[in-house]
Amino acid sequence: MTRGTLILPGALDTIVAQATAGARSALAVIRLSGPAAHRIGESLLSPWRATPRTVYLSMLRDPDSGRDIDRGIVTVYAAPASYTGEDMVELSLHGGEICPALAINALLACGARSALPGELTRRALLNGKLDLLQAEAIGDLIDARSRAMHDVALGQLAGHLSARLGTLREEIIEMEALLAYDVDFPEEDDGPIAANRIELATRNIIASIDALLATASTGEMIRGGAAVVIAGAPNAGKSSLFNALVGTQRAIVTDIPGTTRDALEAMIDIEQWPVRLVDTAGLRASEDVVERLGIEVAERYVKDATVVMVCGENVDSLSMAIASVRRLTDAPLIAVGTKSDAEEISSDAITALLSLHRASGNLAYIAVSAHTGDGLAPLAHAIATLIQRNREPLSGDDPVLTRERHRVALTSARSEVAAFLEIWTGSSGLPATVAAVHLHSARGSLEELVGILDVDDVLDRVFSSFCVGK
Amino acid sequence: MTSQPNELELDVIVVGAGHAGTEAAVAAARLGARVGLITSALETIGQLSCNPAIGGVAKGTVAREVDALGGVMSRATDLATLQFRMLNRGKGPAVWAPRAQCDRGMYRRAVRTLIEQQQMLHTIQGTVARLLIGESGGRVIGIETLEGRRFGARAVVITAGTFLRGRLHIGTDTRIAGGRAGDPPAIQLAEQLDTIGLISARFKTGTPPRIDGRSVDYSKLERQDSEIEQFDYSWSHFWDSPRTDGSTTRHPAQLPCWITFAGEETKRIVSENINKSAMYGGAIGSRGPRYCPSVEDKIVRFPNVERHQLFLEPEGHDTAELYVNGLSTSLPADVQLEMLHSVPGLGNVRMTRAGYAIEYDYFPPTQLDASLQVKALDGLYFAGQINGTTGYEEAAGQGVIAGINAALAVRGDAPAIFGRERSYIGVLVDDLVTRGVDEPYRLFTSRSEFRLTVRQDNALRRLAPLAIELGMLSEREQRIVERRFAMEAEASTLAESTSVRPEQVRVLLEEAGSAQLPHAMRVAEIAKRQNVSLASLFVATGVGEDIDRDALITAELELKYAGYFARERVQAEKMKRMGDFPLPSALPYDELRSLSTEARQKLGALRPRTLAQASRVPGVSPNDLQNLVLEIERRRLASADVVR
Repeated sequence: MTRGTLILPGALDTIVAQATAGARSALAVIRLSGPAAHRIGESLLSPWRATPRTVYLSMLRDPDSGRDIDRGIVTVYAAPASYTGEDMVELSLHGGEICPALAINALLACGARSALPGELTRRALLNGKLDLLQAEAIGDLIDARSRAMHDVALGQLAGHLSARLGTLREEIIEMEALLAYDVDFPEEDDGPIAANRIELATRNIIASIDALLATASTGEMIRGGAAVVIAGAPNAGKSSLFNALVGTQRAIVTDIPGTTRDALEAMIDIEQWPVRLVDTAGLRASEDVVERLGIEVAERYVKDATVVMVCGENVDSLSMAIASVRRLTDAPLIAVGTKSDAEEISSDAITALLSLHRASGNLAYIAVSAHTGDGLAPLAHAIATLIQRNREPLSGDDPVLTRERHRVALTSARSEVAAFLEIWTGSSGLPATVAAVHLHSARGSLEELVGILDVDDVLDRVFSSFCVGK
Repeated sequence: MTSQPNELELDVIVVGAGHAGTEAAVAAARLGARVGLITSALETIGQLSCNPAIGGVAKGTVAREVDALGGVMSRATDLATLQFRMLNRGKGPAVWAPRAQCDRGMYRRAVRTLIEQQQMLHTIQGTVARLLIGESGGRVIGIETLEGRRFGARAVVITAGTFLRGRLHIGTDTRIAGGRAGDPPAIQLAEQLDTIGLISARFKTGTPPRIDGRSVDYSKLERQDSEIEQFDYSWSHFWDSPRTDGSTTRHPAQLPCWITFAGEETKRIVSENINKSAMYGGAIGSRGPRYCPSVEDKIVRFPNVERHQLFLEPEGHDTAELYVNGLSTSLPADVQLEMLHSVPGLGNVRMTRAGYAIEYDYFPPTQLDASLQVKALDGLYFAGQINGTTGYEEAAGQGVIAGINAALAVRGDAPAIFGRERSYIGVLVDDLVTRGVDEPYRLFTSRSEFRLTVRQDNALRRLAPLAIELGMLSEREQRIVERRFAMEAEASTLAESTSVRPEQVRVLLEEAGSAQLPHAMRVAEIAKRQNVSLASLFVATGVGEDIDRDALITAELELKYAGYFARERVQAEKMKRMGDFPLPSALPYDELRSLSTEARQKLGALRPRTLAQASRVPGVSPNDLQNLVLEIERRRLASADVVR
């Protein structure tokens, strides 16, 4: 990328966008932002009052015909005290198809331009209203599909993660300063700095980083959703189970493109967790080309799964399916006896099944009837328990790492601080001043994360990490 | 303006012949400028006004940088050293810091001799009354002295030290106008500088009392002997022959320093008399350096420290006078004597000179550009304490920069800007003009981002090529530089090519507490061990006898810390790229709403030339920088839109 792409063309335009979804609704909110926002507002609204942060009722009229478009609530903001940091006018009009469309057309006719996806937030970032982590959080908040993700995003937007990283950075700078003092004042009365003071401070920094890193697996899962995959032989009741689970939840079901026998994916909440529930094609060797493609897709999902539900109508089919899934993943498995209303599997058979397969990894058995709904609640609870396992529970306002980029930067900072500690406490004889280079690098990793940047990285840092679609 | 003709037409006039002035004059003359060096007393050229030592942490590196640029400070030090220590010896050669106590008289005479050996350099005694300013008012064209002598010049470097409206304080009642004990201040020049629109401010600094060494009870003191070994400040590389045999004849015989302390009794005396101190009694309001505090400062600010170390440093071979380093004070003379008598070993001491505080004008250096030229008046340069710095080495470093740039400007050439990644001098000048000062500025290693690669041992490698490019070094000096570089290369080659058998280094490794060799290894491999020196390995294997030890250190560090040096060099590259991102000089900072108010004000006032400079302005946050880049790009696009 060249520097020219740093700012989208038209960065000084006044832009307009409908902030609410364009479905049939009581209200529609339209935002107008940019240097001409007030002028455009004035030419279309009557009455018009430019006093910032006042709210009043006004009529929006078509600029050409002078016909009324809609009467609504107007809020005026003056730069820099607005969401984007620019002059803004916000209109609350009636919803539906026609009112918002006519209103936007009128604004466009007066010189505004349609905003690109995410352009308002991008302007907020450019105008220093948000830092990089907060801009990420806004996207996460809008995309939040679970209460857990909502909470995490809200905390990050409030600056909790930025503040924690800022503190860590200060602590590292403090250590660098201590080491520098030792070199700069060789004849001071205080004598050399106490070795254990540095060691203690270093260990504290590592502990802080570890505490943050421990949230990454939970945080990334909260953001991306836990992959819960339904596997099993064809006709083992997988689709019925999928539909039953989806039916009890608010779900977004999507066809997975590019496959012939599509895997189906749905985002649902299971207890507090966001879950990507995936229904796969049957897992069996097949001569059929179309079916084999479907199987390859299924295998790929199983390999990445957080939890796999293995379906089967009887002990033999379950046993075979468990064995083939186990070859692909070490993830915890739940053997689901489907059609429990039709065929009861004896408890002895279940015990035998579990003891046969338990050695190869975590396995539970739950009988479910997709038809009656029996067993669905225990199954959901079992899934939630397995997701929760080995993950740090999140608490209150503590910052959480939600992206790979967060984890990578902190892992690098940690290894640098640890390298310093090893030299400081070890016997290599490498002077502390030389070892301090590691602290400097650690600081660099943290700065990168918060958005402190080198010129060359401006583009990548600002925009590749900030999803333009939001 | 009088119509009296100029006595002499010069290219560059340097006002003041302290450490900044002498180096400025020499640097400009080496660039081929006709230079006049004007001082109110020729006898005080190169005077060590405060403590008689050159070097120390970061400062020692600067002294060697000045040397690499053809300066006189290091050569004079080599001729006058009477006590030498390598500070930080226990912390690895990467942070070694040479410091030499000098014979005050010998140092001063050495500087004057070296100055007079310089071609194109006139020394003139006189006190500058005013600058001559061209009729259009925009540039300086010469100076006039109090004695009525006029000299024409196309550039003037002012290195007034503490002389501008200088005022000495001893206690609250005694105030003497002066630039140094015994010398008058410069008043008229200060007043004229005010009239050209420059803002001045006041700093203070102080000196300790000096005592008669014949009245000291040495039996109560700890003796500290010189570690002169084989060290030349001037990698002498301006001397005819580098030393390889340990012989040392350049400097005088070595004298010891003596260590004692100010304890409870001294603290009591200071506390009881604190309101008589010029500084604490309210006579001086200006700020002094935190890191070179007066004894009053130490006791008021750190009441829990039981004792403060004092160094008794010899003033010279021609006198028994001692300098009481660590006891800088502005208390009345009688209290100073009482204080001295409370110090172990000084019970019956005679005070030869009382300590004093001095208050003086400086001009906040953000009024200068990166060549140390005053922004408000073409052809006028400032260097040294006038810019709010403290220390001989800091003054000398600025002197070189101002001298070089004054001469380059006279020639019509672009200024020479020294990067932070290349020298402490570069750090110093950049800090001054982009950050300014809020207390007398002293260099520390912690001010540099490059404290591993910018070292005292490699000053020549870092700066001599630049000096050669600028035409500052004679052919003979260039040959010496080349010889040094060849020695470093030879040391590296020998280290790589020489194989060591285990028995050759058995004793050496045993003494170093290092593991024995399992089989023959290359010298370069073993030299990576922290406690095994390249020099000792060369001795053990009988190679490289003719390589200077200083050159060996450079080669050795490249082996020992290769990975770390590489990291710093990557960092230096990054900084350079940031430095390459220009900030438009007409940027309307007031309008950049995305910047914090503080950043808008500071950047608007300083107008940094590059993003790298902006990043070092205090109060400018990383977010501000990011937004600054975005604002510039936005404006660039907006103006492109207009064109379209």
